[in-house]
Amino acid sequence: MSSTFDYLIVGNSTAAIGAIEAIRKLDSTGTIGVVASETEHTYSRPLITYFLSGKVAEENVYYRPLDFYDRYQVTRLLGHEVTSVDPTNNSVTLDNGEKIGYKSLLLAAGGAPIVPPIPGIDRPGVFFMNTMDDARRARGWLSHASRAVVIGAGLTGLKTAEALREMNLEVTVVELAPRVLATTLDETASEIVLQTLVENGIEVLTGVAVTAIEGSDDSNDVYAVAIDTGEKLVCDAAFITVGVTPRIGIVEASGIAVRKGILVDRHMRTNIANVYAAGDIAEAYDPLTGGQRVIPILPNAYIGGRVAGMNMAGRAAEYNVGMSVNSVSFFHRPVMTAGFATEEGGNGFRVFKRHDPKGYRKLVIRDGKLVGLILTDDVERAGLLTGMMRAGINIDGMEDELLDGKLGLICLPPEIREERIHGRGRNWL
Amino acid sequence: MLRIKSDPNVCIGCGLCRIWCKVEHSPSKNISKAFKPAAPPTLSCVELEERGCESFASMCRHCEEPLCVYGCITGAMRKDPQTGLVTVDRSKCVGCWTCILMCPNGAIVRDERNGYTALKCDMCLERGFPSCVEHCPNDALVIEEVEDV
Repeated sequence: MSSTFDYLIVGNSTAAIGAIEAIRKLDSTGTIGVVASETEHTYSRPLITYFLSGKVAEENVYYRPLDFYDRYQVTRLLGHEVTSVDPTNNSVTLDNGEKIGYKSLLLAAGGAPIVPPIPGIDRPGVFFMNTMDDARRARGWLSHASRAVVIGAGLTGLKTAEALREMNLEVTVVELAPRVLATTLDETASEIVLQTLVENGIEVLTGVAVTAIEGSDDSNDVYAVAIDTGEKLVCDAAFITVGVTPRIGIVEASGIAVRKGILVDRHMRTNIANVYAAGDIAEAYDPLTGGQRVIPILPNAYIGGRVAGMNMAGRAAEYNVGMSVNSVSFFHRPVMTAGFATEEGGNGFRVFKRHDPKGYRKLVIRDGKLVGLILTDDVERAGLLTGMMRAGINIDGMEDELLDGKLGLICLPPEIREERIHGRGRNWL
Repeated sequence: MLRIKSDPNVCIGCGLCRIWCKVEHSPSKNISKAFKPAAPPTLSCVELEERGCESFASMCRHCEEPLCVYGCITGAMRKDPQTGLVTVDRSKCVGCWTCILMCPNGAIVRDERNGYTALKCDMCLERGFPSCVEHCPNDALVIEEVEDV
């Protein structure tokens, strides 16, 4: 064993940073090692589309200041994949054969982009948007491009399309589902986002499958994206943004339990006592469903990493607030969702909606409690609503106030209100 | 550490806290200029909560477990380890508004005056003393000493 750390973290993104900041609050001397396949300074993955367009400079893509690892006394082992985890011997093996030991281990290696089986996907000019390096290579290529096709209308795909449009490219988005953001938004909100994209010059084709990415007669480079209507979308670049999947390959044959992601309990602990997982790789507690789910969003990665770090450093903490939340703007139009946003009533859900020039508001209620929402345009004080969801407050009779956006802390039950205005906000973990 | 304490029992709902917060966020920081018809719009990060004859001011509590900081996609929102204050580095904020969706107090506002960035109470860090507290005529806003764990 070449080295052993008190805390070993696989991954160098949000969950890892959450864990490091929690560990150092409780333990100033224990050794921390970080292993990651990327060699970059820790950066914000959602910002790479902003980096692509040049709206955010490289130094502002970094998630923490450049002296972060020194200040937190973290040893970096970057540019290495973990090929296996051996909980019996408390060690991980790197792609160069080196073994690194640990007292406690956090698996926070995130998700890998899904590679759809499209012929020609490996042509020059086809890019994923998962890493800083993806964005860097795409930027170089796009300096002599004028038309791009984005395959997949999820959050990453649409933010990529927005970035490309801001770079003055002609952009077409192709989506297999009948609408954009189909798993995140309901039909009304999806239509609002679609209109925003179209008004800003993006072409969107839904309900179509890509059959091939073609080159031209005299070049191997991408020349067109062929779709199942028989059309060919001529382009100089194509982006594959059809989702990510937890990198559970690293725990294969280790005895660490997996389903879609690495299964963890409320302490972010796996079935092995000193092995934890957090972020996009983990399948963790969802307070709304009561079960475990992979929810690959940045806030949950940080909170999960923080809970794991606290437990690793000996302070009991629970992951209770990891519901699904998304806030995103397209061409400065804000769209927010939380919880069971796509439910339409039935199955025990009641749905309240209001759609007027101020925006679209939808509330999903179950057993008298708010369990889902969608807001567009008017998103003021939206956290009051997610705060009510997290606290499980009964909102019977408050539906109209909530729908009008006139809610204030003053409407909350006395004990919750007292906690909000005089509490110290310490009881989330 | 110092925090602002809001007392619903003595708040008369005058809204001067919001007025002075707006002054502080105006370009002139001058009350006789900030609300002139030609003055650019300004913002308050204090909310005046009213229902019936009840009222109180609410603003950021600088939480010990700040969900806005944890949800921030850029690292712009941070909690100072020394002062415990939660502040936004506006040069890093891209206006995704995740902090607004995360904050259970509804204490963060959208500032769209010059780009798109989050704006929140920093206890008047630059000014030295919170203007809302200084100008509250009824001591419904006071400074209290708290311990951050």
